[in-house]
Amino acid sequence: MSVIHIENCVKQYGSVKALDNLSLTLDAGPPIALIGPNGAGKTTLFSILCGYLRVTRGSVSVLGEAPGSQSLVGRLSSMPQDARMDPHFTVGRQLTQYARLQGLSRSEAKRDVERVLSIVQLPDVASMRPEALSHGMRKRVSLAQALLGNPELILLDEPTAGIDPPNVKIIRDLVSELSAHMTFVVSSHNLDELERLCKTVVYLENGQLKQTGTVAASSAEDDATLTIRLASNTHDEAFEQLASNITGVESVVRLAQGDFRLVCDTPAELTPVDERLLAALRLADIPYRQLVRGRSLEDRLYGG
Amino acid sequence: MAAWIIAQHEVLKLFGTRRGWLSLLAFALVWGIIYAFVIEPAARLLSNQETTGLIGLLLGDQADRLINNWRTLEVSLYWLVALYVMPFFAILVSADQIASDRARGTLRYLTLRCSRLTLYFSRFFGQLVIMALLVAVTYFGSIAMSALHDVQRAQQMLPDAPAVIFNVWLVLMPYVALMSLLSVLARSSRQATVFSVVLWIGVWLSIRFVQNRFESATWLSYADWIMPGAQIRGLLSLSDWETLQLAPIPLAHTVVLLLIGAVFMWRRDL
Repeated sequence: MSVIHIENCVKQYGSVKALDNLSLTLDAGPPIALIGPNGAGKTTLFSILCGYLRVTRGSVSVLGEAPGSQSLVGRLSSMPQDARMDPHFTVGRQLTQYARLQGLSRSEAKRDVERVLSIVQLPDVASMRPEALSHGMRKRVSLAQALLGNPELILLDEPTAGIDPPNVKIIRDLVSELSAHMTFVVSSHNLDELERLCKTVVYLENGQLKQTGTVAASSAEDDATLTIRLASNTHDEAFEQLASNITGVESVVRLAQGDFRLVCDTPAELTPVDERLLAALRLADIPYRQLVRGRSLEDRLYGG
Repeated sequence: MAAWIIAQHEVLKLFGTRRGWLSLLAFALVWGIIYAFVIEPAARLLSNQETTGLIGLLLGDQADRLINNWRTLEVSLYWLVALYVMPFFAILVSADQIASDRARGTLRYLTLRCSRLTLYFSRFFGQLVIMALLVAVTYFGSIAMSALHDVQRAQQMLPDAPAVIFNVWLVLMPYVALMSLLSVLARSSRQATVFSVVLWIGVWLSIRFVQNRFESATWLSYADWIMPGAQIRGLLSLSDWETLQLAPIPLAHTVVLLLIGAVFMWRRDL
């Protein structure tokens, strides 16, 4: 079932096209990554889907309804990038108000607020004002508001931007855990995070759809690639020599200090190549941190 | 249901937050000063027969009607002061219906759960409830302060309460509607207040300019009715429920301003 359907969508600000003839269909299921450089149109797209902005041309439907439709209340939820709660009221009061606006009774709303705050591991902040929370905690409260009720589709706009690694991990784990029950569309610049979290990638650039596909490696080039990160960069030269002598390795590319990409003869050779590589590393006493089959999402999208 | 929840929240913004209580305290202090230094001394002065005669001589029938229209001098003076002062309070109190929530992004959370127009009209309604409460508090506060000097006079003020409170509330309605509109356009309550001042002066000067430029076009005198509060001078010579004769004017202003604001609210990017 498609959760988002966009046809020839144009959003124009004066002469600037934030979205340029965008057509896209996304189905319900595992998390979907929305990526692209700054100014690609990600936030504009989310804002249109939530009904905050109107399209200049084209048609958009979310869960079969027009954006902003009252039929989407409780079904579509969002964690807008820079939105902040009212500083004059406590978190609990505001979340309760949101839950009641979704049609929950007073007691149901209170229970649901407790539920979502405990999901984001902030059960004690209900009586606090938003301003008293750290940036990371505010992001988690914002995620909590998106989880109120049981939405079918949740749009997360830069959910981990500007927050510390422990908070990033909490949010990532939550999305991963909850994605069995609801569809998430996540926009982020953190490609490592999206790679771990999402199955589908939508890549926007200059308001246009550049590509859609699965996060898992699929091209022949990806299948014939190994990416390795050494424990330190002191063995870079030794590694380069060692790797290029392994049977089945066609070329060794140094990506950064301690990071290498090995391109193999054929995909079928991969398993023996990684086994041979690990054995050689052990013999040469070169410690490694990570060995990955295929190229990272970042390498595939931006080259390297 | 959503409308009720939003209106309730709007009232709570004033009566349930520290910021709201500070505004109420400032309001009570200003109104206390108005009563202690304007209404009460003026009532004492005017209750003197000789002074009343002198004022009648100086200001004519208008002043005489103003003084004697209501049961007590205190009510007449409250009526005069409230008609001219309360609109300023209304503008200040209702300036932040939409503006800062929009600038902060809080509207994004809310509009996922209710329509823009429900939010807009419900907040206007919440402000009307606040205005009714504020007008009632000032009137009953005046009665209480009057009772400190003369209990009997204070009791005489009670029967006029419904007509005075309802009419002052009606007068405030278009001002609140204007601030609903301007708070959709502004990015903060302060900016909405500045917009209202600029709009007021701008419209007033434009009307005067056009009327002076085309003196022969007598129908242009109707332009005076464009401004909210245009009926206030007329209200001064009326009393009790006869004041409702002019009620269609603030109601018409309110409807027009609210509808213009609703169009902006509907179309604006959040």
